[in-house]
Amino acid sequence: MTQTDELVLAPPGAGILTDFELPSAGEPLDRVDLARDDRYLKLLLLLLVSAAFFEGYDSSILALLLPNIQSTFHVSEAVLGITRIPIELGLFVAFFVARLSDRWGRRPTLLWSVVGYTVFTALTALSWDIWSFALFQFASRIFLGAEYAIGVTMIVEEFPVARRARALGTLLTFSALGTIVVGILLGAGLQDGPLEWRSFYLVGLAPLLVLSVFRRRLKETRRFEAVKAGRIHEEARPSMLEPWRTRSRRNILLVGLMHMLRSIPLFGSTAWWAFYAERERGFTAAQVAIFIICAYGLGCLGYYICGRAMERWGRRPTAMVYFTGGIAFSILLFQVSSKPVSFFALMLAVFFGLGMSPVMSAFATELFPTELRGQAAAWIRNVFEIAGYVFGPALVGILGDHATGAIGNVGDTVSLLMLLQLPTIWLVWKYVPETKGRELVDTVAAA
Amino acid sequence: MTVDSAFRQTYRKVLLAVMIAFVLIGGLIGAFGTRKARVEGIAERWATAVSDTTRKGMLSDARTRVKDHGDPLLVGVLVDPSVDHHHKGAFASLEVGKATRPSADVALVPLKVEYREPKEGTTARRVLTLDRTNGTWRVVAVADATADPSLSVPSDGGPAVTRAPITLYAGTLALGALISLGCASLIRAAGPEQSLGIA
Repeated sequence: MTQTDELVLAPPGAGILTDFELPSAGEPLDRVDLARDDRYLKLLLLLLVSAAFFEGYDSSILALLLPNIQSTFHVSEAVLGITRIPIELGLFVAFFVARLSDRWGRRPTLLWSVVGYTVFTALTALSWDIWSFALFQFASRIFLGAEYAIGVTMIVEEFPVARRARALGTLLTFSALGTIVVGILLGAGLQDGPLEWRSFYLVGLAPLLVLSVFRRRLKETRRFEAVKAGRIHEEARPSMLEPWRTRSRRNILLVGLMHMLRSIPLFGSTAWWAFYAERERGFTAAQVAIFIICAYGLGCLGYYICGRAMERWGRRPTAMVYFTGGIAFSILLFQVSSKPVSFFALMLAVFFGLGMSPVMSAFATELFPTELRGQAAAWIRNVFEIAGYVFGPALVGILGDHATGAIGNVGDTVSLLMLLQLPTIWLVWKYVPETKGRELVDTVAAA
Repeated sequence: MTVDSAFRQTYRKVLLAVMIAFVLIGGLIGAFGTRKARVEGIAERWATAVSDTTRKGMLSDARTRVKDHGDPLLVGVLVDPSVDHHHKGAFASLEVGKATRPSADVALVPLKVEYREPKEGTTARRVLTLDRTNGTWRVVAVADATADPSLSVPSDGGPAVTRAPITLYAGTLALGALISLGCASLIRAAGPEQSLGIA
């Protein structure tokens, strides 16, 4: 596997909207002197990890403080679910904002994204009703998603090949750390302060402070400057619709459907677990925090083991085992009342459910020819997977509404949605080819 | 068939599939949704409003909500007015259990609350009595909990407020099978298996 392929296969955070299209391969990077010194690369990574951190942090506030937000705006579970639709669509729009960096440059687009994220996050803290909250969160997600995607692009463009994968890994680790920090703040009782849950959003002002200090030291990427100056040739990207015109459409549909079927119950469950624990199982906010910190921390081992398992036993068996484990332990988590059992169920649900991201990333990239890989991954993540972000939490809220929902509780609603993930196991077994131990090659000529 | 016409056909199929998915999800919600509010849901909203009566800036709104779902005079039974709540919600957590119906228009709903003040962690177990008048449930009385296990909240071993029937699980599995068939048809219609981007 080449270094470039390793980059493409780097697992994104679950459902994170990243434009993983690599910079143009028109001129090999090695032929142009684009190297940066170590000090600058460390500074760049420091600036970019804040984007990754807040990506995880921001998403987790909404999930872990849902009961508090409901209480402030006194809305039903159904309304809470419905408001997630516009909020999560912000991530879809982010994809297009991130692409503007091809025209405006990485640096200005990143800086404006940080400003936009900070402004709208601060405004979220000032929301006066659920709809103003949804509007500010929608805008905040646009800039946050763009910030994260540009961060990935800048790492790809600035870091030397040998250090790129590690830099991307650091970025993803900080995203997971964002979730754990929300858990720690929840455990510390920040939500019980005078500003309640709003304080969590004010923490989002931190990136602007960091930026105001380091703004002048952040440079445009040398690759972008070289392309603008005509020193290296930027090949035109294929149209976004290109994967649908070619024989790749079968695989894009297959992998896309798998992502969609996985993401609807997955994001339905992650968005509502804290609410379920507090309102349907009698957990206190402190217990939710402890569960998240411990179980989530241990469960994250799933990412690592998944990566090892798919290399040792193959993508298909790893995916089938992880899907089965994710479904089984999520149903257990949303059905049991015993707290010790819940703890282990949460840990294993995170281990299998979220931990299978590496193998899903492998499917989203390895099954496509090089010239279409970026577009195919963008379709899969930004269109199919976004369905999970949008519909998962909404369906759970509407069907599980305590007063008017068809099912009437979150636990059974999530359990039923989890069953709808079963077809993915069959799709993997029946249609997905095994790619373990096979090298990625450029198939342009073959095509 | 030219590449462009094949592309247009695929594009239309995908658009059609997306529209069908939207209609199915909407239909699912419409078909299984209910406009009638569950008595436990009303009890939960009332208790939340009671908790909000001690929050800064929420008093007027909370009083309106308390009045909408029950008797405002009952607030004092759950919230001690002499305790300083520091402008926060009176309850750190609240949980309702499954209602029992002594008669068609009367329901008893178990409630467990954890107070924030004067000492966090103090819990209280109560039973709310709701009365249905003109099709609307309202909280009309609050009493201490009894030893009756059927009037306990789920975290105390009581029954869940609602339970999805086993037929719904079976139906979901059947829906899963249909989704599998639908996915298989779409994948086959998209064209033959291609060689991969690997060697």
